[in-house]
Amino acid sequence: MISKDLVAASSKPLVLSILAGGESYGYEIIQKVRELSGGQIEWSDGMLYPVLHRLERDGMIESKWKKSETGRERKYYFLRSNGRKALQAERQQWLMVHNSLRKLWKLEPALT
Amino acid sequence: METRTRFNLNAAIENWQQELAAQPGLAPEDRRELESHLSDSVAELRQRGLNEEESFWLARRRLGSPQRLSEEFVREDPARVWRKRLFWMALALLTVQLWKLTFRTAFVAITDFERFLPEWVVFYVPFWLQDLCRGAGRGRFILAFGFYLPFVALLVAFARGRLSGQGAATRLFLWNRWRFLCATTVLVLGVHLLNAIVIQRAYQFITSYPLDLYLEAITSMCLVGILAWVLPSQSNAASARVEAN
Repeated sequence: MISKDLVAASSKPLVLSILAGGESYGYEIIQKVRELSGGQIEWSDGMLYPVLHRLERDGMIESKWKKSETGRERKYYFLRSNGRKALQAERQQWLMVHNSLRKLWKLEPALT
Repeated sequence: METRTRFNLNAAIENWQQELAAQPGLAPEDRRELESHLSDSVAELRQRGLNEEESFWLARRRLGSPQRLSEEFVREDPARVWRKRLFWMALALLTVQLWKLTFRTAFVAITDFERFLPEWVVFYVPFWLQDLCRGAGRGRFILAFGFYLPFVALLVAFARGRLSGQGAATRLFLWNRWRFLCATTVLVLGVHLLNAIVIQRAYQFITSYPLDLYLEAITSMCLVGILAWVLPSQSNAASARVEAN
């Protein structure tokens, strides 16, 4: 299980990366993270929304209420151009950390 | 004791919504979003074979207690509680001010009805009613009662628990910043204009519109401005900020 601090720190790049693949809503984002990590990253359902709202306030994502095909209303989030830039910066930082750790732990060379 | 009845999902969600509404950190739109999440969660659990009641309780548990949710939202945006309080204070002040003005207008119009109504209309008003209107100023006690009654009624309604049916109305009213701004501006200007006309007629100000009335109108509009600024609707606030950038 991943520590709380790391979960909090990784929420931004995870959300931005998922939205880079297309619009999505809170419930779906949580399901996707659970799926991707094989259940190792366990987000409490309620904690995602404050993160989404902060990203929206910072102008990285945008939201819109839409009716789904089942007739239920959902708030969809989209990535904005600011978010795309932020995602690139995040990506570089995380890969940097990743590479450093790899070297220290003498794992096989990183792919990038 | 209550007898145990069949579980009603809609009623359960309604109850849960009210618990959320009691939390200071959650705006109407947050609650709507959380409800849509809960419904998705319930639908999925039902597909996995849980019954309605089990799905509801599990979905609710996964989402976290209303109190914890509120804490998480506040931690991410500490100004929101402050904004909400400011909103309710400004709304209360504006309501008191507008009611006072309406009451004053009505009072002047009633005691001085001969000035406002054409002679032939006054002719048909029964004498007892005319006397009652002219002497309205003497019944100060009754007047004060009429003035404070709505506030007492509101306080009682609040004390008895949330104003339930009214919640939906406010939500509708607050949905759109522009709709809110237009409606309140029309209301404020209308009340002030009516008051000005009546006062002008009754006291015959020839020179100018007295300064007090201008000041009152300006204060009202300032309050409307504050209300529109702190309107507890997240998407509106966010889109306004985006436009400003």
